[in-house]
Formats: sequence, C-alpha cells, structure tokens
Amino acid sequence: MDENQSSPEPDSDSRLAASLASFYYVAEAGPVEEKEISPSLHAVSQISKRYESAEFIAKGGMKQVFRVYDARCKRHVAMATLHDDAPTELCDPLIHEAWLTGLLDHPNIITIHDVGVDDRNRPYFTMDLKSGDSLGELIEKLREGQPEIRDRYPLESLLQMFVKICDAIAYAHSVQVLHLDLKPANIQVGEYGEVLVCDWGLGRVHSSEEGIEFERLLLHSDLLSSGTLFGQVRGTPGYIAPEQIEKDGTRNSLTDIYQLGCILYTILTLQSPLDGEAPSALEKAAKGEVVPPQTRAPARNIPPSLQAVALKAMAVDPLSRYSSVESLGEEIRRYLRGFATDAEDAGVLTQMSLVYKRNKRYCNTVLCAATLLFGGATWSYWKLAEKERIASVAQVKAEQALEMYAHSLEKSVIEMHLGADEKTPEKLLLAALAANPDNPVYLRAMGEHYFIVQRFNKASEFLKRGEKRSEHPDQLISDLAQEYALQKPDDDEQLTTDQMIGLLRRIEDFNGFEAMIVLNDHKRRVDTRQRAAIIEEHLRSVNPEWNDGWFEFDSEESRLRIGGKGLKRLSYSGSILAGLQAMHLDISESEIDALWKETGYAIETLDIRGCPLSEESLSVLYQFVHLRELTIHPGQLAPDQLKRLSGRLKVIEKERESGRSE
Amino acid sequence: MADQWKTRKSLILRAANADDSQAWEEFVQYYERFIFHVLHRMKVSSSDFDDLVQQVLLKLWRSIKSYDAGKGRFRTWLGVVVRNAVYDHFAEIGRRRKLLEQEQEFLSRMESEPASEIEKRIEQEWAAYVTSLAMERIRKLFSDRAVKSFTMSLDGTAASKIAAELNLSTDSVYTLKSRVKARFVKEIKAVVEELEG
Repeated sequence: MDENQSSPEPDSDSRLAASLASFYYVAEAGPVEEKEISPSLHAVSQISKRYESAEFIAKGGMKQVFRVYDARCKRHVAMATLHDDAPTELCDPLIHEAWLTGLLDHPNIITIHDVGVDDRNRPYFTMDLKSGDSLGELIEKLREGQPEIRDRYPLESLLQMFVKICDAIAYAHSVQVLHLDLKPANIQVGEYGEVLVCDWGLGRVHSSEEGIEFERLLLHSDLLSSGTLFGQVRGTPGYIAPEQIEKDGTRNSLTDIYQLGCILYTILTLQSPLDGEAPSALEKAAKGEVVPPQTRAPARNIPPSLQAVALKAMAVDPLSRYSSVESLGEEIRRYLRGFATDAEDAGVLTQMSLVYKRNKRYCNTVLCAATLLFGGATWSYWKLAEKERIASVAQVKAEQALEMYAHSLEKSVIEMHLGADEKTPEKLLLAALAANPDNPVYLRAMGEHYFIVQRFNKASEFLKRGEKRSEHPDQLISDLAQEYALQKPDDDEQLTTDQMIGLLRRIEDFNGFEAMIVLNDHKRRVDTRQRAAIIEEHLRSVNPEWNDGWFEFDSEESRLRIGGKGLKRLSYSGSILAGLQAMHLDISESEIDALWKETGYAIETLDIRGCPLSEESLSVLYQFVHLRELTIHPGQLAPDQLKRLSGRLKVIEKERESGRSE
Repeated sequence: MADQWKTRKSLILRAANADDSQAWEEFVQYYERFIFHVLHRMKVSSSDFDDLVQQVLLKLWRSIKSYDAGKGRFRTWLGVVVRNAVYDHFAEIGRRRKLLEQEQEFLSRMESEPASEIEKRIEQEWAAYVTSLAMERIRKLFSDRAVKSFTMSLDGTAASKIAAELNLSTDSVYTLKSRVKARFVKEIKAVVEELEG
C-alpha cells in the first residue's frame, strides 16, 4: 500500500496498515464526537467561571486590584474591583474608568481586556498584569540608594521613561482624554523598559465642540464627575495643579502638563515637588511655591536645562507652561540627543558647548580635531588678552575674536551636517547673522548650508555675498548654486537622482563637503537603489584612482559588494554607506584601510579579504555589534584577535579570490 | 483529489448515468488501484494481468448501478462482484484456449477455497484501501509529529516513549493522537460516503 513509502520496515508497515484498516469498521459503527476533534473548542465552551484564584495585589482610593487567572485565555491578568464596602454610587464610575481606558489604544497605556459584573452584581474590569515596580517605588529605591538599582536606572533611562509617558499622554490628548491624576505611583515600569500609564480613574473626556465621536459622548465629563463624591479634592497632594485646587478652575491638557512637570521634578530630585500634608501642600501648589530642583536636591547633579523644563511645565499660570505635551516631550528628546532645550533659552555659546558634547560621542578623530580647535581658541584668546593688556588695541581684539569665533562656528556647522543634522545649523547661523549681518564667513557658511540642503536660490543669494577663500572652490560652488537654481527653481523640491549625480561630478570635494550633500540628500531619498547610484558616484569622486572596480548593490538581499584597486576611502566623518543599510558588506579586494565609521550600523556579514586594514581598524571589528559572520583571508588576523572574535561571531578563513574584476 | 469527495453526489449514484464520462474517469481513478492491489494479493497468475484488471473494472462499473444499499453492505457486495469477475475471466479464457499451467494452478487453488473466504479477504482489502485514502488526507492536514504520535500509539508504544522520541510533552502526545484519531475516523466516513454511496 502507499504507506509503504514512508517507513523503512515493510513488516511494521503492513502491521500499521492492518491497524489503520480496523478503523474502517470503527467509522462504519458510529458517529465521531466533535470534542475529540477540537478538544480546545470543547474546553473553552465548558468554562463557566472565567476568573479564578484571586490574589490581592494593591489597594487604591476607590478600588482594589487582584491577580487572577483567566481560564479562557489561559493567563494571569489584573482585575480591578470596588472595595467591599464601597457605596453603590461608585459602580458606574468604575465602569466608566474601564470604558475610558478602553478607548485608549497606545503601547504606553494600560490595556483593558474585559469589563463585567460578578455574581454579587459588583462591577470589575481586567487589564494587563505587569511584573515590576511603579515609578514611585522605583524612585523610592533610588532615593534609598540601592546600588544595583542606581546602576540600572541612570538619569538618562529615567528620562527615556518620561518621554514614553509624554507620548502616552500626547496620544490621549489627541483623542480628547485627560488623565488629571498623573504621578509616579500611577506609572508602571516593567523589567524590560516597558512603561504603562495606569489608573485613569480621574480621567475624563475633555469637552471640545468638534470631533467627539459618539462613544466618547457617552463618557462625557458630566458622567464622569465622580471624584468629588466625598468632598475631596480630585488628584493627589504633591502632584496637583493649582487650578485643580481652585473651586471652578478649568482643567484641561495644561493640567496634565503641570503634573508631567511634577513627575520630571521627581525624576530629577527623587523627591516629590511639594511635601507636607494635604492642606499645606495644596496651599504651596496654589501659590507656586516650588523649590528649584537643584536647591531641593543639592547633592544631585541636575542639568540646568532639565531644571528649566520642569519649572516651565509647573508654572502656576497655565498659559506659561508648555502649550502641548508634544513640545514638552520634544524638549526631553532634545536633551537626550544632546541639543539645547528651548526652556534653557540657549545662546549661541550654550549651543556651541552642546555641539562639542554631541561630537564627543562620535569618534576619536573628531575629538582630536575638536581638541585642536578648542586648544587653538584658548591660546588665541590668551594671546588676545595679552595684546589687550599691552597695547589696548580693542579694535584688533574684537575683529580677531570675531573671526576666530566665526571660523569655529563654521566648523561646528560642518560637524552637524556630517551628523546629518540639518535644522540646527540654520538656527545657529541665523542667530550669528542677526548679530553680524555682513560677516563674510557667516554669509558663506549660510550659503553652503543652503547648498547642502539643496535650496539653491537661497544658497546663491548668500554665496554671492560671502567670503571667497583663495584655495577653496568657493567661486565654483557659488556658480553651481546659480546654475542649479535654474535647473530646480523650487527650493523645496529635491534634485532627481541624475541631477544629483551630475552635481557630484562637477563639485570638488573639500572638507567632506560632498559627503554632507550626499548625507543630507539621503534623508529625503527613500529608494535605496537611487541612494546607491549617488553613493557610487560620490565614492568614485573621492577615490579618483578607483577606475575599474566594482559596486554591486542588491537592495532585496541587502547586500553590497564593492572593491577593486584604488578604492581607499569609504567615509569622511560619518558613514556614507549607512544610507544603504546593507546587512551584507563585501569589501574584499579593495584598498580600504579603515572602517571606523561603519561600526555604527547593522552589518551582519562582512568580507574583508585582501583589504590592507590597519591594526587599529582590525581591532575595532568587535565594535560591529550586529556582526555575526566575518570572512578574512588566512593570516589576516593575529591569533589573539582571532580568538577574541571567534567567541562572538563566526569567522571564516578563506583564500582570496584573486583576479576578480568587473 | 483529496477534497473531491466533500459535497458531491456519490460515485455510485453518478455511475447510474452511463453518459457521465467524468464519473467514469473518477471511478477508474479510485477503483483501478484497488483492483490491481486485490488481484495482486490474490496472487492471480495471468498472462495478461492488466487486461484482467480492466475487465474486472468494467464489470464493476456495469453492476455498480444495481447495487442496493438496502440489501446489504457495500463491502460484502464488492467482494462478491470482484470474485465473480475474476472467476468469469478465467472461464472465458478457458473457452477460447487451453489454460496455461500456472493459470490452471491458480484456478484450482481458488476453487478449493470457499467463496465466502475469498470474498471476506476482498472486503478486508477494501477496508485497507479506504483507510489508506483517508490516511493520505490526514497526512496533508496534520504535522508529521501529530501523525507519528497517532501511528506510534497504534503500535502500542507508550505515550511517554512517543513523547521522548518526538520531543513533545506527554500531554501533547495525548492531545495530538486523539485529535488525529478522531479526524481519521471522520475522513474514513467521508471516503466511504463518496465511494460506497
């Protein structure tokens, strides 16, 4: 029989066939029970009691939370019910809380799974059950100074949580829902960085004339006005906004922003912003008697910019706060990325120091350049000061200082471009030009900036008036700006791939100018094949001796193979190849000797056979965090290097494929 | 082929219509394999084995219209028809020419055995054939491990041993084997419905 094919022993097969055949008579005898075919379906249909084995977890003002087993979903969830002695009037608010939370669909907001009524006719709802602490408990532990907690949660990671909280509230506001009881105890923090905003019991739908959907009308603020039942102030002392204390104070999104400010304050100081028993804390809040974070916690090193953000969010006058949660969150993001916050009211010098900070993260080369630059500046200033002392030539000092400053500013702008930051340079230069409208260095830098972001009309305007250095192709760039302004009259549009390639062919590379153009162009060019064409042109231009090599990019397989004689340089200050996100990089048989900048993106396999990589470059191979396969030629790595790498990734030693060409 | 016997009229009903050439093709598809197998098992010795298969097939096709489910089981009826067809075949050869030695030998062996015994063996072959068709279907529906859990349990292998061999938990083995078994019986019913009417 056909079954004979699948098994090696014919004897056991015929035995099997005979056993199978006996089922013919079974089938003939009677019907099959559905539950045997779908035992799970049967099991679920038999469950009469869905939630079992409740374990008490926590107790709040109006409700208590249990850990229960959900027999249908076969998992544990958290179940909220009213206190046993709670008056019947609280039944509806509990259900409304569940409905309101259920409206919110966001990864950082707790998810409601089920709302129902138990056999005693009391309402309940179930939600995500998360292991881990609340942010309040976490801060408590940090304040006690538990070392492993302190190592695990540096300020940056707390700020990252804060950004997630802002995201959640920004989303809630976008669907007209207010929380109104934001505090660390209502934020759940998971072991893997999950952040959940919980306890929307005081939340309500913010009435706005338009755009309220029907379901939301059901939850309109009138229906949810339960918190005043016991004559208590809604909210938590210490985290309550001044307008929540006033009798008829309006509560709107700015109230949530105040409370977010309080949370930020707590993150910075590890203390709640207003201590004391309810009445006095409330009084202080109403008067805005908030002690600045650094004064409150002098032992902690609190960045002034963040202190400014917290205090702005906590302004007594709602209109002086941030106007939206997004702008508050963005401030923290800016800080985390190393930019000045708006609240700090940054001057050019603050910006400059932040530029330096950011660059610190990039790489050693830039660091060296920066050190030289700053060293030079200090020396010059000292010289200038001396000159002043001796000759009091104030005019000379002013001019030279300005020139120095202008050039270092320009240098910073360049670094920002190489970091593909296109917005800050414009702000910086505009500020500089506002002070010195005719400074030729600023004018040229501004023109170059507009050139890089392909705003050729504007670029041409500034470059005409800007400085023309003798050994730089400034005149060429100015001419090109004019020419391309004609080819692409709309500054908001992007060059086509062909236009870009044409431009790269004509431009001369100096100080990575071409790289800046390419990096900026990438940001708006989504198609990786177009990017590849532009990158190839760029690499050919910066590697003039690279004539008969190969450049093969397969976007589907995410594979890039480049090499050949004369290909020496891949990157200037940032990796040009990052734009292709090629997971498989093959640079074998090229003359590339350094791979510093390529460590920053997700290369999974790398082939470096035949590359004259320097000692240092070989020693940074372990910095490719995503790398899992490395191909080298025999002897390319020293035994100890090989040993070190082999533990982490697969190293393939393979003979070079010599004579490989186009 | 597997899903053909889902909702259609049974082959037997359709065979009543002599013009339904598609019904004939399907009939051949299902029964040829069976008849070939049965004759093989009977150790029929004939100079023209394939011819015999065709003859039995034709005879079955013609008489299948007269099968009446009310009067008895299909498998019983099938046994009778096939046995008679084989017998008739040799009788007819015998009228035309002298039987070869091994043909003669086969015929006498067949005659020495009671008719009911032969029919019963054909019935058993039919049961094996139908279950093999159902099994083909099962193999498409379930994973290898599920099917193995079932077939190994038929051998009398202990669930714990099956679990170890297939890298499953014992609980899973129980669930899988009972699911496959239940589905298998259901598939047999479906095949029977299609082929037996």
